[in-house]
Amino acid sequence: MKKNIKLFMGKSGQLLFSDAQSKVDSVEVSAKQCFPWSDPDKYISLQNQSGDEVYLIKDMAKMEVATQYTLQKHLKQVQFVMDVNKLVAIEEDIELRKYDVVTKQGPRVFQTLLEDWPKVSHDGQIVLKDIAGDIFVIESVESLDKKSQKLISTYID
Amino acid sequence: MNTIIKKEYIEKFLQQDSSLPKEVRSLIEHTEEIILYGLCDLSHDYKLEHSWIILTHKSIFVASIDHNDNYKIDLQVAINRIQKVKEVTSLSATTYLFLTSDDMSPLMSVRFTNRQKIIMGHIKYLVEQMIGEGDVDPTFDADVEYGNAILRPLLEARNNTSDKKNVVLLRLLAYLLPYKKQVIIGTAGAVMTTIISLVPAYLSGYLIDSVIRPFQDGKLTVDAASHIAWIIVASIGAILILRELFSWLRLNKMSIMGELVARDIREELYSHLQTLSLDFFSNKQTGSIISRVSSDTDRIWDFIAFGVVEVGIALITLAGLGSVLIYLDPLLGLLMVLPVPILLISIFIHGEKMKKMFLKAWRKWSDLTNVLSDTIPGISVVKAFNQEDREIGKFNNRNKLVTSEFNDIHRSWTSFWPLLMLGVHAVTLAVWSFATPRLVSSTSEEAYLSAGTFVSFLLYMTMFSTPIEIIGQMARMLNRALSSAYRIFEILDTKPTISVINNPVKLNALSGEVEFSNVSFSYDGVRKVIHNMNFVVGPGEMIGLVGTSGGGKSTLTKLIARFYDVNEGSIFIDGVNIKDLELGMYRRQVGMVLQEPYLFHGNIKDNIGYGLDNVSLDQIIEAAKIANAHDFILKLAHGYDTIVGERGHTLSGGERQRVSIARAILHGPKILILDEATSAVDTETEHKIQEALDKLIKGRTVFAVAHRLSTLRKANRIFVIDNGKICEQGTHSELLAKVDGQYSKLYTMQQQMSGNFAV
Repeated sequence: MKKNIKLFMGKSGQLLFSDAQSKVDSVEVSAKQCFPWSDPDKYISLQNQSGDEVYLIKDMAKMEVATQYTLQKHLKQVQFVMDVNKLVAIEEDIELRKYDVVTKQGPRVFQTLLEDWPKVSHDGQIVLKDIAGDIFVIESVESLDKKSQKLISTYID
Repeated sequence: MNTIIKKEYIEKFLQQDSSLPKEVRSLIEHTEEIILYGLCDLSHDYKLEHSWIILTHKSIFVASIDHNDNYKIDLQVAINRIQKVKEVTSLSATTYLFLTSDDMSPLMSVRFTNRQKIIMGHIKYLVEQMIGEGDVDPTFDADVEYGNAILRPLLEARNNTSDKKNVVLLRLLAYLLPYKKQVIIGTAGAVMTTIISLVPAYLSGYLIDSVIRPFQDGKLTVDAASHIAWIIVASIGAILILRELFSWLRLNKMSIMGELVARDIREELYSHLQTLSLDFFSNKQTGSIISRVSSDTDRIWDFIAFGVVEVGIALITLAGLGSVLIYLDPLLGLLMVLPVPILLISIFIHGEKMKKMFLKAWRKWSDLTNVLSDTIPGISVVKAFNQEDREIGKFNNRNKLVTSEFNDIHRSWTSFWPLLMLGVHAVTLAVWSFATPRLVSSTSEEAYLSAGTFVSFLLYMTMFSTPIEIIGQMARMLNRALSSAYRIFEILDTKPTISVINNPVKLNALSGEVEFSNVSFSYDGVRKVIHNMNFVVGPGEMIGLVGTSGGGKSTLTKLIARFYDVNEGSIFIDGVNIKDLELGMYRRQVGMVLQEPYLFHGNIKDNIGYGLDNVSLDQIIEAAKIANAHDFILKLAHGYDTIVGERGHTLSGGERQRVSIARAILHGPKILILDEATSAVDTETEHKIQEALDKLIKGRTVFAVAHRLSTLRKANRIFVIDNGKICEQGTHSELLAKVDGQYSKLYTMQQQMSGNFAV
């Protein structure tokens, strides 16, 4: 457990980093996951305001509990995507595919390019990126109701 | 795109308000003028909830809906309290923290998805301008800017033709108007083919009922029966020849006319593309524009030459068949006609299923081709890492998936069509079942059906399946054609952003004076790339443009070439506003040598003489000699006749650059723009290019953008440009004298890096 490394929140909500060993105190950092999709809890780079890495966390589980909590809270923000619970309709328009979905965050209609197919990760997550760059994630096909499964099947099977 | 269409698009595609709600506006506008506003579509706990952020000259407001569905102002923060806007980004959300200092809680924070990022970025930019400069003087309309920013990703991804489908179809068909004669002949051919096709079956029935049967009954002699039978057979033969004649007429006229229409559209499209401003091309992918001129017009040809007529014929055939069958025998006719809608519906349902299956197959196909497009260009890496087996495995795996998908498709259609035909046969069987008792009944009975009528029926029945199939494919064909038409009309409907006035000033021979008077410019309407710039450059003067990347150097040269019009202020050329000049004549007197010179596919001679008529070989050689290109051209086996491939890939960077300099020399521009002309070459080549450029710039007004300060040693003045402003100007020695100046720092840095070059 790395006791000398600490992460905590500043007053304006910024993530602050301290390393007692190298006498670094309260440096504002942002966390960048090296493997955000395949291994999100390991190899997390802490970068200062100039984008330089100040520390590389190899395994979040080995950090102090309070630091883990702070980091998880920060990563939740950094990794924010919309979680799709239900598909209402998928329609094709000229040059675009329109998705009408219900997400954990609320209902949303978004469009992707026709040739932008949903990506299925090795653990079954389905990831869609719309034309504005927003990311929508379906936990797995099984997490959807029957109608949604049928709708998405054309695009992932 | 007009305001109504923008509103429609925002509401249809983005499902958010198309402008700031009136209630919010009324809460603010009675005291303050709104500069810009945006929608924050995420709450603090990351729910998709809407609130508005409104920027005025004094404050930022946040407004949202309360429990009674009324808008209220949640927060108002005075701009002068804000010291910094901090941006926290995540994969699909951005948070702006408006701070007085880092160690204090934010004055306010807003959160939004990437969809709102452009408009929110504009707001952040304006707030930062206001923090730095006290206030801003916006030159844009808040509603227009909000609409433009919100719709930008959508309009870049999709065509933005707003017409309804029927309007687009009519507009497409209007291209047939110049070919009325061909349309009439082709359509008449199609109609006649259809009508004539119905006759042989009728005659066959007539032959049986009026000749064979009476002969068998002894009512006609052999000679009379043979005579009539031969007349009928000859008539059928003549009709079949006539049918093919009309069929030829239709196919010939319509396919040639379709080609002419496609040619007209291609010509119109390409001519229009040449008139469009650079911003159109920077917003669209090259491939997308090319495919509109090529494959989209080809689809239109297919639709006009065959689609329109085939569908027309199918409809006429079905209507004709139905009418004839009901006329021949109402009961059997209805028995045949009534199942047709059921067959059509089943074809439609099957078509929808096939559409989804094809979608899957295309997706797998694209996975397969991705392996090819990855590995073929990178084959040396594959071999170097000994990964051939792995790549073969990957390819085979995807190949199997593609095959499996296509086999599913084959299984589906091969099952469907026999089933459909079974349905058709069932109808035939029903007809037989109803007809047989009547065929064997007495001629005096009311239900009696003659053998001839029944044979006609059987022959007509065989004609039913083809039109049903064509109508089943009509929706797909129409959608493909409409989709192409939308993409084509989008380009045709785009207006050039460079305005052209009536009776422009024609300056035949420029002297080359360039004046910028209070010029400001922004690509997106909000973020200024050039800020209130003022300078006068005399004829023949050479100006070096240096500064940080993205500072505005290249934009300045594009404004001089009038690729864009300024938003504020004016540019004067020889004392005349650039907007009042005849654009073609002006551009012919402006030359450009760019970092990546573009050579067209063709020989070197034509590339040097590009755009000029009646250039002599002497002039071409002379220009090449001045450009230090003559010697290397003669080393090529075919000399000046050497074909330089697409984009001139057969020549090195330095060689291409010297050909482009020769081209500029031949044009003899009075204003010359050199944009990083020597940055991508080695020192020896740079020396040769520099020597060529030194000859080129004589007697011309020159604007030279350069990172290597060594290339600007001959400049009369150097402008150091930063953040869209001229922050320093003077001669090389004057600028070096400013020890803390940017130029001096830049010079020292370059000297340290290169060690020994002298400016």
